[in-house]
Amino acid sequence: MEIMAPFFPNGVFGDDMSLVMALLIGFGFGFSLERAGFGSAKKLTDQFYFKDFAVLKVMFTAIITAMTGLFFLSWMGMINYSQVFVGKTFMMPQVLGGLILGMGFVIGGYCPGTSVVAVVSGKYDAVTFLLGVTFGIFVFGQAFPMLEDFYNSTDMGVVYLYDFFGTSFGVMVFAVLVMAVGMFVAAEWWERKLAKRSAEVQDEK
Amino acid sequence: MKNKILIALAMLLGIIAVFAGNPQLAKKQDNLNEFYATHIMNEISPIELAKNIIDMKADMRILDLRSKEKYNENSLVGAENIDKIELYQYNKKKMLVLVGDEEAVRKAYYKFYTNGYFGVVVLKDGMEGWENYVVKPNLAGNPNAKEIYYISLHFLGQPTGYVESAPAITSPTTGSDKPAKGGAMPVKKKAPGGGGC
Repeated sequence: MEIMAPFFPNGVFGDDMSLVMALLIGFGFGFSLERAGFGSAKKLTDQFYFKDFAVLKVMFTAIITAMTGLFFLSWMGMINYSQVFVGKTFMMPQVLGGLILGMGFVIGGYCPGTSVVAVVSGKYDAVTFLLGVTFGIFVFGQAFPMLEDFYNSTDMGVVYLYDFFGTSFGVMVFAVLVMAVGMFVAAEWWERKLAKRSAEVQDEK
Repeated sequence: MKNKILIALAMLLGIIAVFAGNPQLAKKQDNLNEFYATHIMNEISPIELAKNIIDMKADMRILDLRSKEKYNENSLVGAENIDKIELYQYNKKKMLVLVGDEEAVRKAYYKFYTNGYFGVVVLKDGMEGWENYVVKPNLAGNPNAKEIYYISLHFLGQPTGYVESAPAITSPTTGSDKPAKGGAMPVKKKAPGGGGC
């Protein structure tokens, strides 16, 4: 069977169609986030207070769906996995960037993607957040010459978990699936415990 | 019940994945083969490398990809023995000279080159070439000035009567003596007597 995917690198569609596809995927992604309740800052920040694990569950679901999909489609010869773009790892800048993004997430109640979803669904706080994001991008752009050395530091190239841990891709898929299942079970257990405790508090009142 | 079915499905897929192994590796090898077939690696001759080392003209690192045992037996001056390439340890602006067996050198070259390290070059004929041309060079009968010049490098000599231009990296890709696009250039020595703390 001739490998078809990924479509754009294999010339199944050109530049113009790729922009249309990106727009459609963007709409689909935004719609899914909104339907999952991720246009609400309260829902999102409840994750950080361990009251609602929807964010963790949705994100983990996305990860394992993409991972198993890529793995098995590649296994069946329907996708050329080596043509799928994987970003490089810049350890220290990405650790620091992750911490800054996390702090912004907790303080502002949104991450960049969900803030756009919230703006579209009419949330005023998200408008403020998005203005802050835009301002931050502007400041970063202006300061980039000063930050460039750090930005490009600790370049590890493209790193895959299975290479890093010295296992096969399949074993890593299994390990991540076990981790995801464990996380789902633990999150469900915690949410049930929390609901039971709330019910008891309500009864006492 | 629904959750249990999903968990069972996930575990089933995971177990199948373990036995499937590395489905993408064949493709990775195809990419490597394509790279080897279409790209000629930049090389540096043992003599040029020796001149660079002696003159300290090039800002370079020499990476010995052979086994620890072979490295301990004999190695180039200043060469580092590495068994795994951690890209962040290397500067893209520096020349990187790879020494080792063909397969190891090719893989390392591919990794460096595809990550934007265009200053990477391979020591032509590896350690064997180094031994034959630098460590134990042969001088034919009735040598000309150029041959005498080269052999004298072995003994750190500075013969008269022959002037050699600055060494350059041979770039089979471009077919010229200049490094390929993005390749590292020999670094000029600072004029003596300059300041500095």
